[in-house]
Amino acid sequence: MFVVSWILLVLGSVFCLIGTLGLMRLPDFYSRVHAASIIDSLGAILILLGLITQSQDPLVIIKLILILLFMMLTGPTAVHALAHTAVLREKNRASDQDPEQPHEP
Amino acid sequence: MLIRTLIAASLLLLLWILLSGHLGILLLSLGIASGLLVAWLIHRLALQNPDFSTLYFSLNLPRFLPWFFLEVVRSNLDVSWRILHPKLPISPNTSTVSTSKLNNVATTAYANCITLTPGTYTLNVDDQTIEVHSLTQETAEKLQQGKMKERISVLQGRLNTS
Repeated sequence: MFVVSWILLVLGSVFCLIGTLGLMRLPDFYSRVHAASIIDSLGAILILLGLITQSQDPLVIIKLILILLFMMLTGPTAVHALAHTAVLREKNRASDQDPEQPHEP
Repeated sequence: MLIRTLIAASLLLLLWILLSGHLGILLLSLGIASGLLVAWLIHRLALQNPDFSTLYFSLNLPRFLPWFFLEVVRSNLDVSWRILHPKLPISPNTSTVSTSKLNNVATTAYANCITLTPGTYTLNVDDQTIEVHSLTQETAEKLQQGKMKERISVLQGRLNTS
């Protein structure tokens, strides 16, 4: 179990590193979000699974599973808020509108 | 509606007990109070959609989740490979996918699933379409085939098509 846990933790860290590398390498804002979502999904999932397999306390395991579930909900929400704001700002700049008043679709 | 609010409050209390791990009178009564408060807030926000069967949705999840998890792993490996590739083989583009025949909850689930798989994420959600940004042309085409949408429409069942 100990070995499994460490394999998961190391793999998760590797994916976090790849995501960070992607943030640097990818050319523009919109594609960089894709790299960030690697950290959010497989990086976080593997690290949390590694922590779950390391713990013996059922209460701790439940908490870690809940953290995993909440990350699955908050991650996409944050990404969507970020991307949507970028799109709106771009539209505002293109139509030369007042940036204080984003026009809703 | 009152019954639903009370069910929500007791589920929240259960969550409170699981998270705190204490069964003292003070902590329990605080848990009951906050459970009721949150249930009341949810009721006030009218988040409980009467057209939507949570039970049906949850019962179909065990069939959906393993497939979705594999899809997440596969797309993660694909995007990682592209990042590590010296030539950076990407072709960023935006496309739209239709959300016809999906109700509000299913549309939300669909938009979130698109964002959770790296390589695609949701830019905007309209009444009938979702605007998606894809890292490559292939991932955009794969999404257009609509396999994920099909599985999510199974998830919502045939009863609630609003």
